Amino acid sequence: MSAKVLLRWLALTQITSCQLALATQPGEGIVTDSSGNYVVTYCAPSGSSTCQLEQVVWVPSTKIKPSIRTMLSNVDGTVHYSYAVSNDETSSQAIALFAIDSVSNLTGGPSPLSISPSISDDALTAAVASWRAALSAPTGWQPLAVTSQSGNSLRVAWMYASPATAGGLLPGKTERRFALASNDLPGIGIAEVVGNPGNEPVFSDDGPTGNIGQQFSLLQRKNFLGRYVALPTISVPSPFSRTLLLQSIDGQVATWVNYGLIDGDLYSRIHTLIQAAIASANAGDNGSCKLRGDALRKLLRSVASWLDNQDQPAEAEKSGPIAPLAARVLDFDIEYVMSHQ
Amino acid sequence: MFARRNQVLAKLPARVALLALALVLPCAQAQTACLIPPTGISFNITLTGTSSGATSGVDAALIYPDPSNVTGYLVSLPLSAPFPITIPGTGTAIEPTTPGPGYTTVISIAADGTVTGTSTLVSGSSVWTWTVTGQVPLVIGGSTNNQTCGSNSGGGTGGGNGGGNNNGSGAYTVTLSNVTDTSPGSTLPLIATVTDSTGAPAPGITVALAVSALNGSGGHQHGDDTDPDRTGLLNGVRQSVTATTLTDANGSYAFTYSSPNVSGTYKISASCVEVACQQAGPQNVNVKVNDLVPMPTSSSYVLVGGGSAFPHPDNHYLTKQALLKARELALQWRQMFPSLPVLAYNDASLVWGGTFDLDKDWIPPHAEHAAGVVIDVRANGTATAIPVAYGLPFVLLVYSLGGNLVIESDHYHVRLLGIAK
Repeated sequence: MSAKVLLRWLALTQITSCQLALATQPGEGIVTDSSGNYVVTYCAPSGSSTCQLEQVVWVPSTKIKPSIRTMLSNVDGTVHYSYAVSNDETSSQAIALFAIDSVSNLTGGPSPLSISPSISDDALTAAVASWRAALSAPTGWQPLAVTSQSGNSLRVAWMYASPATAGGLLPGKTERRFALASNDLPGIGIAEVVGNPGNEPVFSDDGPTGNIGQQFSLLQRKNFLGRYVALPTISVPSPFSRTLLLQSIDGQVATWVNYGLIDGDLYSRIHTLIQAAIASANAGDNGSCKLRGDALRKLLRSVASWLDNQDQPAEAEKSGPIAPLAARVLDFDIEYVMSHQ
Repeated sequence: MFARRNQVLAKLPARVALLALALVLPCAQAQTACLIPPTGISFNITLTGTSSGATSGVDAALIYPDPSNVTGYLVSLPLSAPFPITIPGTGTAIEPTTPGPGYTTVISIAADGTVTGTSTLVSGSSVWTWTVTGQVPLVIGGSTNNQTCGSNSGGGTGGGNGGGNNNGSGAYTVTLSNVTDTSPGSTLPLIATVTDSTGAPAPGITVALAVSALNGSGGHQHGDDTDPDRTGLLNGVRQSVTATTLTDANGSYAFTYSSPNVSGTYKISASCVEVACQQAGPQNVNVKVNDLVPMPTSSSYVLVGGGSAFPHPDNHYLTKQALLKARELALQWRQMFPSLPVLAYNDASLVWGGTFDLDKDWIPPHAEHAAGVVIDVRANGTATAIPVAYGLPFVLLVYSLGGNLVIESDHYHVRLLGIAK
């Protein structure tokens, strides 16, 4: 056991498991202490073939208990997304960053697909500014949007932007002013929520290298808690096409089965109704198409009776065949499609 | 019988074989050159024979016609060697032998190196008869096309090689194939192929190889380009190697080049051991990380470090995707904190990536600056640096963009894409 170290991996929603990892150099390792911090012992270059062991304590940004509620509204064809972020009072850290990836686009901004690596400074500056104009944030926070690493979508983030090291959304607090506007309809994605760890440790050179470096890098990449949120993912075609939009919605809902957001049986029934609506739309029978949409929304209410109520269950709770967030997003999307003139 | 045998042997020089096989090297009319015996290479000849009146095997020597050209080609066999005799390898000395009375030897080497012939020795009541078969490597001289090959038309030694001055110099060519760009720290399979003046493959040649670095290549202007960490290794072991096997029937010898972690241009030199040959074709291997681009100047950031006074003058190369992230990072920072200095970007990667040997010794530190996805952002307390109080916002901004970082004493080491490679 002495040659091995305990490495706790951060999973998507919480620190879930412990794994053993071999150190590449004698004495190297990553262990968790009683506070849930990571004690990183690594080989620092010393100008010779031997290494000098150094040690830092790295505090993960996951000592938070966040919850997020998405509010959706359709204002003249523009979808307004707002997020109420809460930090449970039992959290050890303030929430300092809230980011959503794979946003298809924001109102008023260029398509992320149009942003090539060779884009001029002026054009990139204009794009960043226009995306930013579609975002709003609470006081002390900065919203931003950048191209996602996939290159075909945006990464939108709200970060606590004060020099104060202990700031952010404190435990026991809720902040509702995280918002964005998009012409695209909501799907469901994962928000990365990051706590404020305070002071970051100082490393020698590039920090841990080799096997320990890879493990530490993995910890850093997973240094957030994930929560499901609604976010713009379904582009509204121009000119408007009910058929294409319904197909996109059907494709989006299909992904929810694997997310555990909807039961397979319910999805089959929804899929059948959407396909019927698509067939009606293709036939130019808008009346029949809307009837299919109404039937689908009625089906949703049969399994989520609270949909029209103010008092709705928490989005993380999936007590029935569909998660509350999924029910609300699908209901919103279908209503949008069917109400479009 | 032993006495008789000893009488025969006594006619020959001491330690000389009983049989001196005078090889007749015909001019290869179908070829465009004359055959020249090679030097110093291995071959196999089988002597198959019978003896009459002899009670044991014989010493035998296989000698090429012109002893002055065949140093190393004496093959002597022990007295007790039985038939058939396989003559392997390379001898260490030549002992010119003049066949004595009673010898009849007709041995020839065809244009393709096939050896055939017979030889008999009659001495008293003893008769030794050999047939000779085998294959010898040949050098085909290029400068005496269609010449008659000297006086090698009959038996006897010392007939000359017929090629006159055809020592093969310049007539052979060694060419490397699969010489392509490769990434740092990879293994590149290469083939050295030896051909004769007609372009035909030359089997049975030993190839020698060496690798050297092109000074200054890869963005390293700090000398000591001979270090193995700089040049990489041939066959995984050394900077210069001599093949342990001969070129095959295709004239080829396969070897590997283990590229260093340091990028640059590396010249692989090939030569032939037994014959002179000239290297042709590509020989420079570019070891590089592909598709790195220089960071342009911008009003959103400043580029610091580098310059002609530094051992690594060009220190601002990134992948296109990482460059876009660096530009977005700087833009966001400037928009969020317009009163602060713009980001000061120091070391990213070198022009072709690879190890960014900060200490000029071809090895890390700066290990993660090899792939064009990492950049250092100044935080050293100077006027152009990120103020200490704004460390947390900068860290969060990096996370906001999907990257991550480690904090070093005077800078932020930013993994623009969240990874180091």
